[in-house]
Amino acid sequence: MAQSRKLESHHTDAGGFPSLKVRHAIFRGLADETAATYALDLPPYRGLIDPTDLDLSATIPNPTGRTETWSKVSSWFADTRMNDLTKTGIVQTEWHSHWELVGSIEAPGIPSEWHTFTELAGLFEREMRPTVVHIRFDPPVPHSPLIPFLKEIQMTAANVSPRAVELLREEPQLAIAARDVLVSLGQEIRSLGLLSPPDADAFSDPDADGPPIFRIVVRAPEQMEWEDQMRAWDRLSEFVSGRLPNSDLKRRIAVSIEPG
Amino acid sequence: MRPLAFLELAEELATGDEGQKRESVLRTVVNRAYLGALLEAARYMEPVREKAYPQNRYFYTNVEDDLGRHIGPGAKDKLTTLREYRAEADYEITIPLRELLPERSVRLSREIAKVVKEKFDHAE
Repeated sequence: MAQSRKLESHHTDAGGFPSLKVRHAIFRGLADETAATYALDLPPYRGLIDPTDLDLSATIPNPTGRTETWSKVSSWFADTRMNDLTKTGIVQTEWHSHWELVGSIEAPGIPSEWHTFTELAGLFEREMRPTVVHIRFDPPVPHSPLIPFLKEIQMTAANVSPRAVELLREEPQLAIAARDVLVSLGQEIRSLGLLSPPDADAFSDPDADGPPIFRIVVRAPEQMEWEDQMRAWDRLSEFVSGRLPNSDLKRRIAVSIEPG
Repeated sequence: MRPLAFLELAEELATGDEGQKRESVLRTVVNRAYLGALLEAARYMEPVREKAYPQNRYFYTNVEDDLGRHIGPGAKDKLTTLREYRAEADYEITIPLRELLPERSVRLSREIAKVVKEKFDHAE
């Protein structure tokens, strides 16, 4: 199926969070389709966007020249493997030759629904002849203060969990310290013979006392003995603690060794 | 009841038939493994405390702090890690449980129980 698309996007800054506005995303060649699945390609926003905060509508010009707005969509889905957010909807009309997306994305959060894009697309392929379109947005807003730190953390850590992103979003003061620690930790990890870069995670326990903790998780070989893990942990913990400027941060940012 | 009975139950469930390894069972494995280590550590450390452990939300972190004092800060971190696994297993039920978590929890719990026993049995 032939498709063409035109996409212009620009950014606004809503309360310090990334905000995108889609101006036009026009898809042609859908005349015979009764279903459309489209995916938003959002790697820079991995873990940052709550699908329920996304709002896009499609405008569909009909043969008489009148434009109708289609905003009835089923749901948003997020795919951890593809780092995409996928929106599916069924276009109820049969006559449209193209449709246009207009909408905005703002207020990041944690994706609450996790489904696989591929399964979703497969379902529609079998039953509804879908159109799958990936729309790549521009990089995040430059003046959102948290984004540069998050990007550095994402580049330094092997994995940054959605919980970690959520914690840093709620408490941005942790992001600077976490970035500083993660950037300098690599050499120390390698000197201990632990080769994998660390993961960034967060932990809060509704049953226990204490604030949420940003956790740097260092992967150890499965066969590493308890005593060796303790020795490695002592060194890493001392290293991390030495780079945190005050007792509050020392309490909030912790390092952990877990079997890889 | 002995606290280690929780750990034994976790081990039993974790090594059960494949057909029994429903996610709810595996989440129970993580939970019981944590409680086994936590309560076993508390059982050994409570007699050497000035006061009994509080029976509220401070209990968990009090036991961790004591473990850090008696065994070492790395051991405290291990119990905290186990508590993190437990919170994940009990509360994050919309996200599939990480595959390795039950086995890791059992192993970690066993290690904690072992070092606590070694420390305090030697001291007697």
